[in-house]
Amino acid sequence: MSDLLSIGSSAAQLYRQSLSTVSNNIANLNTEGYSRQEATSVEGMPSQQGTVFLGTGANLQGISRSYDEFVENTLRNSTSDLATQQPVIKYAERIIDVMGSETSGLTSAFDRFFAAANSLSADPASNVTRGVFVRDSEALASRFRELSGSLDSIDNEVRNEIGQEIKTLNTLAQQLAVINGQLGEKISLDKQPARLLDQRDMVLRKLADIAKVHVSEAPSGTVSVRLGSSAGSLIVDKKSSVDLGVRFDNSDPGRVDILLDPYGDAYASSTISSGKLGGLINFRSQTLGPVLDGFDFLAQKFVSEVNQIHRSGMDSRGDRGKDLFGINPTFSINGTALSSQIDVSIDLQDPDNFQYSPFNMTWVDAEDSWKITSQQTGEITKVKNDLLGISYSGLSIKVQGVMQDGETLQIVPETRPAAGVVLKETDPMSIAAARRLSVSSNSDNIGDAQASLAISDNPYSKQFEYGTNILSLGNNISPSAALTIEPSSLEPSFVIPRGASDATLMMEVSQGSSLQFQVMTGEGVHVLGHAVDQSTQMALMSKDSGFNANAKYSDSYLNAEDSAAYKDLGLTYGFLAKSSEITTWVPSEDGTGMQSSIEPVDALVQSQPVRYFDNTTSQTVKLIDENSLTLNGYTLPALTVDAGQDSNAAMISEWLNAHSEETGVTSSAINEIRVANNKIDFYQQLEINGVLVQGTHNTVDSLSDAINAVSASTNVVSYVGREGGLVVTNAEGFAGADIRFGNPDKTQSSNALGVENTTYSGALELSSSDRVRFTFAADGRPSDLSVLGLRTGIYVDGAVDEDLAVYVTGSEAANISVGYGKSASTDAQDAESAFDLKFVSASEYQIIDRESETILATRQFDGVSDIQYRSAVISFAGPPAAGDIFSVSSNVGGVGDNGTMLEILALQTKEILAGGRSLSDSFIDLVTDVGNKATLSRVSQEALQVVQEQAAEARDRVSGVSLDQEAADLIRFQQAYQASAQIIQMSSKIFDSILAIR
Amino acid sequence: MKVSTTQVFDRAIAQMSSQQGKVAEMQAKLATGKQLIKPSDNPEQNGLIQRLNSAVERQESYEKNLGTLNNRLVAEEVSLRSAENILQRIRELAVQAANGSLTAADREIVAVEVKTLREEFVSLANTKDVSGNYVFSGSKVKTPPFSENEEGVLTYQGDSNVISLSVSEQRQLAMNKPGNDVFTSVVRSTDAGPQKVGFFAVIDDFSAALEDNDVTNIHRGLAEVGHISEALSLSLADVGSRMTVAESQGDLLADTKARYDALLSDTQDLDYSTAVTKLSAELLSLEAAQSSFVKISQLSLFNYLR
Repeated sequence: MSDLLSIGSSAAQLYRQSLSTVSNNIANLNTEGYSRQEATSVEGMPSQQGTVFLGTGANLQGISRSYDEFVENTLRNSTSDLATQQPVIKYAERIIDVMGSETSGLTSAFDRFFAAANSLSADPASNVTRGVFVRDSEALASRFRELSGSLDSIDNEVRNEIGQEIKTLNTLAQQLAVINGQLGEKISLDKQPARLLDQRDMVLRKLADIAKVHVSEAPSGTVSVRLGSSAGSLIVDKKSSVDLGVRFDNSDPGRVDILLDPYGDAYASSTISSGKLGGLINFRSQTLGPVLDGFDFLAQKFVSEVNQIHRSGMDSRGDRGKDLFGINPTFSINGTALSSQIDVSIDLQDPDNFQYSPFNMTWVDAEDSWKITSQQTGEITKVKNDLLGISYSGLSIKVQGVMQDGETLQIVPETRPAAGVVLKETDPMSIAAARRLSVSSNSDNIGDAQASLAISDNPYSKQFEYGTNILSLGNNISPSAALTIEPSSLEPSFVIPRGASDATLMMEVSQGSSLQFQVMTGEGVHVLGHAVDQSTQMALMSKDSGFNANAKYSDSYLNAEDSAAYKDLGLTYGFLAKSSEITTWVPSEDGTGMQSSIEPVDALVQSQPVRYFDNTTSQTVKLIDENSLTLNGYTLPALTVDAGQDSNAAMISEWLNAHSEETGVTSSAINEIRVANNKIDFYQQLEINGVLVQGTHNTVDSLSDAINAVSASTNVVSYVGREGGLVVTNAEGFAGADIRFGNPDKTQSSNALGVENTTYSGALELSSSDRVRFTFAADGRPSDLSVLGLRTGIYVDGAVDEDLAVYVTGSEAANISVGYGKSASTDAQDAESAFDLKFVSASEYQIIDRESETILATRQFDGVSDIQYRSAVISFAGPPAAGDIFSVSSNVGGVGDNGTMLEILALQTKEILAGGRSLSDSFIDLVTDVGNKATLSRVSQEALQVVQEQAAEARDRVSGVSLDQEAADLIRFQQAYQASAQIIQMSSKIFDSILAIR
Repeated sequence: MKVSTTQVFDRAIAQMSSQQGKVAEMQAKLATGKQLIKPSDNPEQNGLIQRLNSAVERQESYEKNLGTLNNRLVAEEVSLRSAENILQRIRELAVQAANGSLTAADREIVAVEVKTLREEFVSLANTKDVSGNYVFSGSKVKTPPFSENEEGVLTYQGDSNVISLSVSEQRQLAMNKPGNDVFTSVVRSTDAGPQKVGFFAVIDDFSAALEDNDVTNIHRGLAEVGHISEALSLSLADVGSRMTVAESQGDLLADTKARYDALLSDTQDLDYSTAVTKLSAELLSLEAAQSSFVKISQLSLFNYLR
């Protein structure tokens, strides 16, 4: 009703409520997250009186909250961006302070180490300088460990902080979900209590501080929150929130995986790149990870470089240097059912091959081996069990105890490389300061030359370019495994590499073949083969760059034997079969048990079929010339076939046996033809030695019987072999005689036995209690050996300490098989056998191995260049004269030599790391990188600070409380209230006037 | 443009505390006298400082080596000078002995003196330096360079290795001269062709020739002593020149070190005048911020509401 009283009272009520809203604003001046509230009034519904509408005053429409969604959003985002920088700066500065300081940084430790090395180089014989060097080396190793420990603790702190932030985030998300639930009870935003909305915005702002969020508001005021952007993972929706979890990777410090619902489905979330959490994650992946990796790499590189130099030197006892530093990782070993009886110990054998990633070892009982799965790459390796230590990834793992089938051990490397740097040589005497070799001029030298020696770090740089390494081929010497190769006088076909032992190559040679082997060393010494003319000599050494360019061809050791042989090696070109020994168990003499006795076994050779030659001429024909073959040192006479005779195994055997006494080799002949069951062609006929085998047959047995029936005239018998099949051989007394197969049906080329209609000459069986060794005399050639049914071979007894090139020369393709024994490591030989440099003239010198007195090389000398042999590089000041000898030998006794220490010293400035950086430089680079990132963050922070402040100001402008404004509003509403009160008073006066009417 | 009350206070407080932080930092720098309080203040500059520190330490290490080198060279020089004097004496004796006017008995007396001098030679050749290392043994510093067997024949036991010392980043100096290079041998042409005769063998042969009164060999001895004396003088000159080189290297090192020290100081040390000026500027702005805050914060409409 339009009435003075009601208008007045509603106005008074309205202004009273406005005043209380203003005082609420003033009271909440310092409340965080409070948005200014305003009472809004609305005009009352007018009442109609006739055609006139009268107003009914004003009513409180509602308390509106001063709030701008967009400003709020901007504030949230700028808060996230700003919060990203702070953790980066904080932790980056921590890293710089630790790594860059004089006392805890690496640079000062490096300086001390190299200063100690410098002092040591001035007086290597003194135990004092050695002791100081050991002390400062230990200081360097422990500095590595300490720094690594500090970096690890920073890593742990960051991890913990990430965990904390995620927990806070989860709590906030849960709070938001509860608020959402409460908001969900009403349908529209303006009906929601302002306090709840303020709370909601407060939580959202705190969330934004931790990670950037994308907020979408529903009409009812509920929000759904996504990480990062509108495409990010949903963490809060209308009713519930999703927890986040985090997972770290020990082997990759930069990697942080954020998971949704970690105790449930655990799926990856979208990336968090902003907010405190984003800052921490960025720090880990972009700053901490690279620093840890770079530091580890530096540690590994330093240790390997120093060790390499140290190992090439000599300590004060005259022993070869060993590793100076080592990297010892520690491992944690977990098992699914690890019983206390299983003992696992792990040693690092080969640091270069070790990957710092965890792996699982599963025992496979059936195969007596371990199945090893790498956790990082997923690669599976099967390794046979070895009680002395299984090799895997550069480690030697010993497992003692009984493992169950399928039981798994989990091996995790606990420490990073840099945390495991230790000093291995703690004895001052074991520091290798001296060079291993020294050169001295013979006191009788007439020339003025002074020789000085340096150690080359690439002693085996010269290797043969061509030629297949025999160790890369299958180890099978039988003719069925032969390779076919083309002959060449220009490039080697095979290479017997350094360290190969008992290498053997055998070649099939047919009649009239010109095939030969030639074996040469890298210095042009022709050790096995046949004498060649000068043009062939040049050809052999011309193409392959594995030959020393200055070396001269030498045939002084061609086919030499025993003490005259090259380096006293046991080399054979021809055919070799050795006797051996076997150990048997026999009853012991006193009858109480068994004892071992070593029985010698004769050398036994069975040749392939000998050459069949039917001499149809009227002259005697020589199959093998005199002066061609030598057997066990005795030169055999010529092998001749008289007119009308033919060569067969029996005849050749007789020829050999004629010289049994001199050679020590006895021979017997055997002619056996074996035919498999499925090759026998029962439809064909068979003639043996011209005699027809009677009858038709359909079983092997009846064929065999028929052959035996005519054996009186053929001198051939047969029997059924053990595995079936037919064996046709000579009759008693005719061993080795030819067997000729034929077929009465001349149109056929084969016969009932399924073999060709030709003469089979038999094979030889040679035996000797010592050995059977054929070599070539001056006129001998491999084709001569083939007459005896023997392949020609190259045999190397024992291990070789240099590469040997094997040529196959001739004009037709060759079939060659290869065999070898277990390779030996040549490290012991690498300890440098002493050698002499003898100048035969001012421009030519020889390298002579002192122990075997073999001339290893004859080379040209141009008067200026350095001479390198193996790891010794010798340079001359002054010209050597003819007859001068310089001896290179071990430097034992040279305790004052500092060559190796000078090389270690050179590491201080040597550019061994990428980009031409030295060790120290590289470390400083690491720190500077972090510094750059920190500076970048700082600059960003300053800029973002300004942005955030502006956003905060903008928000405050909209939602903030200004006391002055509130004071003005107070005055306004107070006056309005007074005025309303007056209205009521006025209406009361009016009523009084009405009441006064009588 | 409305500014909320909380904004006014918060902003003023933030600015004042950052200003206070700057003042505290300046104060710390003034107290320590260093431009960087901790490495993270300026990582690049810190890296430079570390490099310079390393360089200074390297120079010191080289200086130490030069000291050792000098000791060694002095020991060499002293013994070579004595050796030269002795050889001089032997030459005089040789000239004297070659004079036809001497009798066999006179020559025998000369031989006695030569023999004594020879003993002195041996002890000079086996000189040790202050660390107890033999100076003329090459790298076999614990083995005496010349040792005598039962027949009195002296053989050289050392080796020909020259030991180098690093005296600067690019330079290495030889620390020693091997004994067989100092006490050289001569080539004697005999009927069997040229033959190498050792240092002490020359002197021994000479004294034998004196005892035998063999004039031809005395003349031969005179010539050979002349050769070895020349060689010894060359070695002495070489030591002298090495000492000169070492000295000039020492000067160079001192210069380099001074340069590095200056650079280090430039990079590391605080320039007090600019620092103090900066401090007063910071203090001024802090005071201004504080007093203006007090004034502004007192303004409020409520002051005028009764």
